[in-house]
Amino acid sequence: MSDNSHDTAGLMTVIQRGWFTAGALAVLTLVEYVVATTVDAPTLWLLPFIVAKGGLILEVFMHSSDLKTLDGGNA
Amino acid sequence: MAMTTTPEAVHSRAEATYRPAANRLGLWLFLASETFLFSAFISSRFVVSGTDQPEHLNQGLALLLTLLLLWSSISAFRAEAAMAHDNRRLFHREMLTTIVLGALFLVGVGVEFNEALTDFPANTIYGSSFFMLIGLHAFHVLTGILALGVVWNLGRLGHYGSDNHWPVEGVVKYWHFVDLMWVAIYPTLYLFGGS
Repeated sequence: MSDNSHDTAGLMTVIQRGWFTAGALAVLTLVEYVVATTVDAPTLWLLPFIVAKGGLILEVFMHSSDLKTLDGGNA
Repeated sequence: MAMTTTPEAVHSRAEATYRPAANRLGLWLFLASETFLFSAFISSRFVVSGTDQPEHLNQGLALLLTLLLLWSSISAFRAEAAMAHDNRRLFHREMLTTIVLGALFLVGVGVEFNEALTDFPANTIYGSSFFMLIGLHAFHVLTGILALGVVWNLGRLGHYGSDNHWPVEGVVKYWHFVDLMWVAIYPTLYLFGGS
């Protein structure tokens, strides 16, 4: 029982991290859209958004830092 | 004690440890090769038409598609985490959610294609880049949905658990990669041209 509750707590922690990341990605996407539609020639302004969003997906969702050891990510 | 030190047992343990690592390395190499493919298509857009874009782009639909794909990424993430923690009920629900959201994305792309064909046909400069990039990405979404469907079905039949969920991790990683490519494609086709 205590193992199960410990596992549930671990799952909740992982899922919370996922929601936080998804929220950050959604905010970045909306700000990116606003910048693109209000700034003339916005290419350079948009590059940081692409890098930030890509970095979040790579690190949190794809566990890219596990490449160093090739261990699993979400366990 | 003797059982754990026989050559067979040592080999079996080593293989059990090694194979997921080899699978992960293989998947990352595959994703790297896919990145080169997408990079070639994305760079061709700038080569043939710079950052110019037509006025009739459906910005609202593109933003909606972006948010749909983002939503599908969090549901895929939840599905993988659920299987890693032996929560099968959550796994089933989140995998199905991901598949449905991916299918909705494809429907949205179909609507966008229909509109785009009248506004900037594929034989125009921007149209050729647009249809190539969106088509390439949509094909990856389609294959991702099929792979998710296979893994969901095998998971439903009890094939995976917390100590054996590499296929779930692999297909979810592929799905995140499809989302990652959209992060670059969306501004390339819809936003770089400005207001």
